[in-house]
Amino acid sequence: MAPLLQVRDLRFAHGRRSVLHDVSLEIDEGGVLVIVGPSGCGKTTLLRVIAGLELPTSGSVYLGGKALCGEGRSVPPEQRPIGMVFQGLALFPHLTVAGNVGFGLAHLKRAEREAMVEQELESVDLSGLKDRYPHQLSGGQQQRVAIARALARRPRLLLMDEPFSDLDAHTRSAVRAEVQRILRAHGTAAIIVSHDREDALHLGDRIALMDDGRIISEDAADALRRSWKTHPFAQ
Amino acid sequence: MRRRSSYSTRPVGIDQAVHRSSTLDPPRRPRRLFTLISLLALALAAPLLVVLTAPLHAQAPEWVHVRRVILPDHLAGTLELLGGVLAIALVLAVPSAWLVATCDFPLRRMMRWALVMPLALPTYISAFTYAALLGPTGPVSNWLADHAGFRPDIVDMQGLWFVLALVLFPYIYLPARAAFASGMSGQLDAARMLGASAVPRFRRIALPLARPAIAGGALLVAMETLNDYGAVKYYGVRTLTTGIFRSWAGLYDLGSALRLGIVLVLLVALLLWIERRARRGARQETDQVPVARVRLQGWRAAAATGWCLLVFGMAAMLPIGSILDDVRVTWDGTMHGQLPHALWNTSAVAAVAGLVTLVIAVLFTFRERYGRRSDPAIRLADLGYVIPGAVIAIGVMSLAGFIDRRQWLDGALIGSMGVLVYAFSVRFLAVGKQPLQGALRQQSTALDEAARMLGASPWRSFRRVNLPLLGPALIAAAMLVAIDVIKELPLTLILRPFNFDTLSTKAYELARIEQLREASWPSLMIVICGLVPVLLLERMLERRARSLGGR
Repeated sequence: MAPLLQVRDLRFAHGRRSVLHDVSLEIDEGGVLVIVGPSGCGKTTLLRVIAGLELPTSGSVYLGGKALCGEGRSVPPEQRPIGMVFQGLALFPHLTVAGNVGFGLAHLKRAEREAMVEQELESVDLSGLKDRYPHQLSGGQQQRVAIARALARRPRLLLMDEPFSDLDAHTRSAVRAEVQRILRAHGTAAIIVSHDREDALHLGDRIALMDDGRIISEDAADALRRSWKTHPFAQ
Repeated sequence: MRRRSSYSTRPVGIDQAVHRSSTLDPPRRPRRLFTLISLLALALAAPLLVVLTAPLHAQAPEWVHVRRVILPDHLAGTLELLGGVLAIALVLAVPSAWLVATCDFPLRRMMRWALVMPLALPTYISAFTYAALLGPTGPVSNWLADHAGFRPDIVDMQGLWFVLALVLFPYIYLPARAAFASGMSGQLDAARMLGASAVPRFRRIALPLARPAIAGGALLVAMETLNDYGAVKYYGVRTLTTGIFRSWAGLYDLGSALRLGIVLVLLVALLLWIERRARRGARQETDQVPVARVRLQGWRAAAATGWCLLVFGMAAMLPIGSILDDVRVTWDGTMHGQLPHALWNTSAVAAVAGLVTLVIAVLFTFRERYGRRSDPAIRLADLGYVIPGAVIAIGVMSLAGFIDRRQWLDGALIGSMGVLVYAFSVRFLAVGKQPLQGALRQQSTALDEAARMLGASPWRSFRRVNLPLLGPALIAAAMLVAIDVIKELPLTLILRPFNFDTLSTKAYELARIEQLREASWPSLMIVICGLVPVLLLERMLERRARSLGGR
């Protein structure tokens, strides 16, 4: 079966500074890839290029066999079937939970949209909080709103940029388990960027290690767990 | 557990998205909107372009006379006025800012906002008031003639230096105070530990470090001086602005007026260049630690309070008190018949110009937020605020005349409300944009990106996410534009419809025919309008100072 996402020889530069060097990766339908690496290694830039928020210098991104960028075309971010959970979440502070989750469903009729929002909030256990504003929620609840918002449009791929960075250690592990449950329930493929190895080992089917704009290794998470002591990732 | 198949809608696919973008929903691509916005920006930049290209399209039958007689005389007057006003404004502003920012003395907290109050007074109103008090027949002059044996007359070039500097010095005071209060605390403490007393600390550390802030303020003072018409005309001082009026309304030669406008624009460009040079090599103010104030005692405390009270008294209390007294004297109703009309006209034109300018400012900030590159047309349109009102007015006049001559809009542009509102938008666009840009900078770009990742087009993202969060900034932008419209004089004088009086033109007309007491009514209303943004600004600055730990 052909992979869902194919990234080929992706390059990106900020002015003269090269940020991504010939990055290639693939992800299957329903798979979860965690990209781990130190700050400034290009993880977030890679997600932003896949999302369409940045245009690559060269290389291509295919989703479901269709070119998102490359071959002389680039699909704008709002037209890509990709959802994104931002670092810091970027919830709209002036909209309620329901307003946030329903934001991407403007093309639906009101009743239909409300039903979808209800369904989506139920799936992340936030049904009773739909009329609250983001500032009235805990960190973990905000996290779930951001995920529900991204998943409400039924994206084929979900991108998560440091999704747990603002949480304390206790909340972090609870939310991580919750994210795992939601992703499995939806069956959506995901790329999660993190600098935390715990996140990678708990969430990923595959784990890629990135440094200085390059993917330096990529393994199945199970294999990595087995060879944990000798793998460079554990060092 | 639910699976994806249980949902009622299909996943968003690329085919679906591409189809939608190419046929059903074209506004998802903002290119067309961006083009429209660029055209709008060009329309707003048009008066400036008309002025700058005047020699190519406008005949100037009197240019030889204007160039030989009016230009040298009025240019010299302008430079002399600039020099005098700047020198006095610096003397008033810098020591006051230093005292309020770095020392503790009686009434200091009151002086923080009191010294900003003169900004509420348009220059021409302060000039009329001072002329009424200290002119050749003013009560103060009469009293001095009776008791001291000399009769002062403030209505001349030197008097105008003094009057304009008193109104405009807060433009320097505000940034200098901010720089002294929180931009250099570490350096000042170090100088103190090295044994420097107050004067060397001020002269050798504070003044050089605050130079960029002072230069920025001085530039604003210079711009306002160049823009002034009412005060210079009343005091009989010849400047390029009065030269433009003289060429246009006296010699009936719009081409020469446009050429004088070019000289004025070049002078503005020169001032901007000088200000840039004054900032060059200056240290970036990243130190936000509030300075520890020194408590003054004895004669020093009395001198500091006395100085600030003197400046405040001359700059704000005296003119405002005089206006209130004149209003009391003319309470008998002589003005009541004329005022409501001017008040209605002013309110109407300010409201319409405020709203129109706000809509344009919103569109331009959208373009700047979502465009990959900045739009040169918008940058050109932004220049309106540094171009004197008289120059914009003759540019608009020339443009409207061109369109009227060709009967494109039934020949009804010159002298219409539409043209007046358009000219106000050209002049005050930057005033409207500034609060919006400031508030937008506070909004993380992740919000825009989140909206776009949720399928929103740039315009929808701006409309649904950025715009609602702007809230108070939208109101502030419209209000600031409206208040500037209320105070504006030269542009209104040139472009107003026939027999159309506003508060500013009424005050000017009454002062021109020496009915200075009657001019107090419209003046008072303008001052009340002007106080609103001044008090808001000061409140905002105080809140910011508190958040940084100052008092």
